[in-house]
Amino acid sequence: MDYPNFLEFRQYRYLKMASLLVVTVSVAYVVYTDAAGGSYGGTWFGYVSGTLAAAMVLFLAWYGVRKRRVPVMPERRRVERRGLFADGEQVARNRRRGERREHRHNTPGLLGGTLQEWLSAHAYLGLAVLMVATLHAGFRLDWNVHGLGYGLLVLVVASGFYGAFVYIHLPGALSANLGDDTLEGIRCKIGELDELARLRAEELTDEVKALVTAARLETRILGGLYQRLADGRSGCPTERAVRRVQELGTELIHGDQPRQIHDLYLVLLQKQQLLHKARTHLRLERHLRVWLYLHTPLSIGLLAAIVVHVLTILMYW
Amino acid sequence: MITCRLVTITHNPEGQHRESLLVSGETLPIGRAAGCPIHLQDPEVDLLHATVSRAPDGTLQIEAPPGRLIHIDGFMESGARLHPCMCIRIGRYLLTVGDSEGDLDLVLSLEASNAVPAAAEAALPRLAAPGASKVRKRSVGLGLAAFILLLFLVLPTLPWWSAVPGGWQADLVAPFTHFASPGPLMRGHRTFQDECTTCHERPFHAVADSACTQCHERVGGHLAAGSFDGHGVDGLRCIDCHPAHPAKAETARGGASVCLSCHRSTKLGNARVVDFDRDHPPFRLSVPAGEGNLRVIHDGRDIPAEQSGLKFSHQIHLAAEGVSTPEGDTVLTCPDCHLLERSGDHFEPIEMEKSCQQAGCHRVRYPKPIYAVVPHGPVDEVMKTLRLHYAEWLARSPARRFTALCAPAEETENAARTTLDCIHRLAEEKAGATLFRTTGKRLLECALCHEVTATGDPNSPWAITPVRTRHDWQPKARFPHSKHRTTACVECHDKSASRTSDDVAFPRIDKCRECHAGSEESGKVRSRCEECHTFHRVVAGPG
Repeated sequence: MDYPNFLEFRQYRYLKMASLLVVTVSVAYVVYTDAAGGSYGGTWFGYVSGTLAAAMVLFLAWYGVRKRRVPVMPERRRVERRGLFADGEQVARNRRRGERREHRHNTPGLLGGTLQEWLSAHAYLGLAVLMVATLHAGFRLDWNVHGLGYGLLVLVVASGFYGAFVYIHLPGALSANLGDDTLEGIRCKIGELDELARLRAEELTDEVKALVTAARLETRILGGLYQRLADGRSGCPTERAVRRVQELGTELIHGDQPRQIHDLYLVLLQKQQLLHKARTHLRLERHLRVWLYLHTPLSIGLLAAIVVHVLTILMYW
Repeated sequence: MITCRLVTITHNPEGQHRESLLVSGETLPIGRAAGCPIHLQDPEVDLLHATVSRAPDGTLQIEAPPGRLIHIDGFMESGARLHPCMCIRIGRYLLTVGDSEGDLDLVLSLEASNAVPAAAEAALPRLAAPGASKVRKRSVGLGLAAFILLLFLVLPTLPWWSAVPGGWQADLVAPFTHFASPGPLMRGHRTFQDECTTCHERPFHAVADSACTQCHERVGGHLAAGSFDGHGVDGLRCIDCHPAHPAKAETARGGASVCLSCHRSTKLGNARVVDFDRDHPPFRLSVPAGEGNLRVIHDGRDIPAEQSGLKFSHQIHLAAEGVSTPEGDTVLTCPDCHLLERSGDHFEPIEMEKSCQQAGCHRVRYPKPIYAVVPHGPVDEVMKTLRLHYAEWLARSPARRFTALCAPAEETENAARTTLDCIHRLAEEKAGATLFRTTGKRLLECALCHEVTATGDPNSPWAITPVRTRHDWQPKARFPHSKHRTTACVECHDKSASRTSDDVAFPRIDKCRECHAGSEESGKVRSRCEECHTFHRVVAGPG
C-alpha cells in the first residue's frame, strides 16, 4: 500500500492553509502600501504581520517539543523496563508513568495529535512564515539584529526545506541499498569475513598476513571527518589489502600459492562490497540527519534573535 | 531423524518466560526462512544460516553453509560436533545445547539478546574512528542564543546603566549599539549615531519632545497653540513627523511627504491632499483688498481685482517695439524692474528712483517757476519740499512780485505769518493744479500711477492710496524663483496684455504640473509637500 507522505497529508490540507495565509497577508500588504505609500516593520501593517510571524515561529518551534511527546517505541519501552527489572517498585512506578504518558498522547491535541499532521503543518507554515516575515520587513533589511533574525529565518527554512527533501527521497534509497540486511548484520558478516580472511592468510606470506590484520583491525566503516567527507574510502586498509592482494595474485600466478591468494581475494572482495554497502547506508543516514545540525541550533538562535528584535523595538520606542 | 526440544526463553516485566516446542526432521535447518524448524526472526540471520545434522558416526553436528562461519563458543567456525553447554551465537540469538532428555536427541535453549557480546563486538569493525566528535544540536543552539542575547541585547543596553561603556563602545569600529539600530540617523544627527542615549533617555519609554527641543529651541509648533484641540492629534510628537532613523520611514511612505499622514484625510478640517500630481487642492491666493487680504481659491473662476493702490500698465511697458524714454525707444523686460533678492525666493522692492526714473522716465518736476525734481515720497515730504522751494523763490523774487503775490490785506497783520501763509497757499495751488491733479489731459504726475484724493487738511491736502505691490500671494508657501530662471517670466505670469495693475497674473496649479510631478518618479520634477510648504512656526529667539 502506498502511504501518502507528510507533505500530502489529507489532500495537502496545510499547503492550502499556508497558501491562503500568504495570499491574505500579501493582499493586506498591497492594500496597505497602496493606501499609505509603503510599509515596513514600524507601520501598522508591520506590527500586525510581525506579531503573526512571531506567533508562527513559536508554533513551528513547538514542533520540536511536540515530537518528543509521542509514545516511545515498544522496543525502547521494553529495554527500559528490563533495565529496571530488579526493582519491583520502580517497575510499577515506571509503568504508571508510561500509562500516564500514553493517555496524554492519545488525547487529541491542537492538531489532532498525530505527528504526521504536525510535521505537515510545520513544513508548509515554515515556508509561509518566510513570506510573512518578508512582507513584515517591507523588503528592507539592514546589517543589524533585525536583519540577523531574518537571515536566521532564511537559513532555518532553507535547511528545513532540504530536510523535507531528504525525508521524502532518501528512505527509498536506504531500503534499496540495504535490502534485507541491517547495518548490524553487515557488521557481523564483515566480522565473519575477517575471521575467514585471517584463517586463509595464515598460510601466506607475512606481507599478506600484515595486510589482512590491518584490514581486520584498522578498518572503520566511517573514519574521521576527512574520511566521512571523502565517502569513507580514502586510506581504507581493506581497500589497500584488496589492491595489494590482487597485485600479488598476478605476480604469483606461476608460483606456489595462487589458489590461496585467489580465495583470500574473494573474501576481501566480499568484505569490500559489504563495506561499500554499509558506508552508503551511513552516508545516506548522515544526509538524513546532518541538516538537523543546522536546523535545530539556528532555530534556537532564531528564537533568541526574535526576542532581541522585539525587546529592542520596545526598548528604543 | 533428529528430534529436538526447542526451549524459547523470553523476558517480560513479570520475569522469565519459557516456551517449549518439539521439532524434528532428518536435518534441522536454522535460519530466517519461514520453512526453517528453528526459525530466527532477525534480519542479521541468513535465510539458511546453519544446519543441525547427524554425522556419519551418529553424533549430531552443526554446519554453516559453504563459505560462511558461525560463532561457536566464541570462535568463528564452519561447523562443530554438538555437545552439552555449547553456545552458538547467530545474530542476536544465543543457542545453548542442553543435556539430552529421554528419547530426545537434542535440547536447545533459544534466547534473544539485544546486545552483541563484548567479545563479539570487539571482533567487529567499528562504525567510526575513535574520538569522532558528537555534536549536541541543542547545546550548540543554546550557545548561539546566548551569544545573540549577549551581543545584541545586553551589550547595547550598557550605556543606559553607565556612561563609561557608552563612550568606550562608541569608539569601536563596530559599536554594539550599531547592531541594535534600525538604520542610520538623519544627516544632522549622525554625530551621535552610536550614542543612543542622546535621544533614548530611558529604556522602554518613547523619545520625548524635550530631547529634541534641548537643541532645537526655536522651532515652533505647526499651528498656533490650541489649534489642534479637538482634532485628536493632541499627542503629536516630534518623531511622528521626524523619524530619527528615516530610511525605512521614507521608504514606507514611498517618498511621499509625512504631511500626508494627517492631511490625506479631511478630518482636520483641511482640504484632502494625496499627491501634488494627482490630488492637490487648487492654490489659494492672498489678494490685497482694503487693509487686509482676501483669500481666493484659484480654480479658474474670476479673481477679484487686486486693490494694490497702483495704476500700472504692463502692456505699455512690455511693448515689443519698446517704450519711449528720454534715451529713445527702449524695450523693457521683467528683470529690468523686478530684481531677485539674494535669497532667490522673493524680489527686491521696486523703487521709483531705481526702476522708474533711472533713464529719466517718470522724473516729475515741480511746475514753474520751481522746476526741481519732485522727491518720490509721502505727500507731506513733497509739500514741505515744494514750500521750501517757494520760500527760496520768493526770497529771490523782486519786491513787486512778492507784493503782488503775498501783500497783506491789512497793515496790522503779522508780516511773517503772512509770508508763510502765502508760501503755503502758492505751494498748494500749484500742487493742486499740477502734481496732485486728478483731472485734465496727460496726467503725467502723481495721479499717473497713484490714486490721489483731497483730504482738506491744510498740512497734507492730498492723500495717496497706499501701494501694496510687494506682498506674498501665498505667504505660507515657499517658491524659489531662482530655480525657475530657465523659464520666462511670462510663462507663469503673463501680464503682457495687462492694462491695469488690478489684473492678477498668477499661474494655476495645472501650470506647475506641466513640470512638477508628485512624490513618485514620472519623468518630471519630483515634488513633495516640503518643497513648497513649511511646517513649523518660527519662534523668535533672544537674538
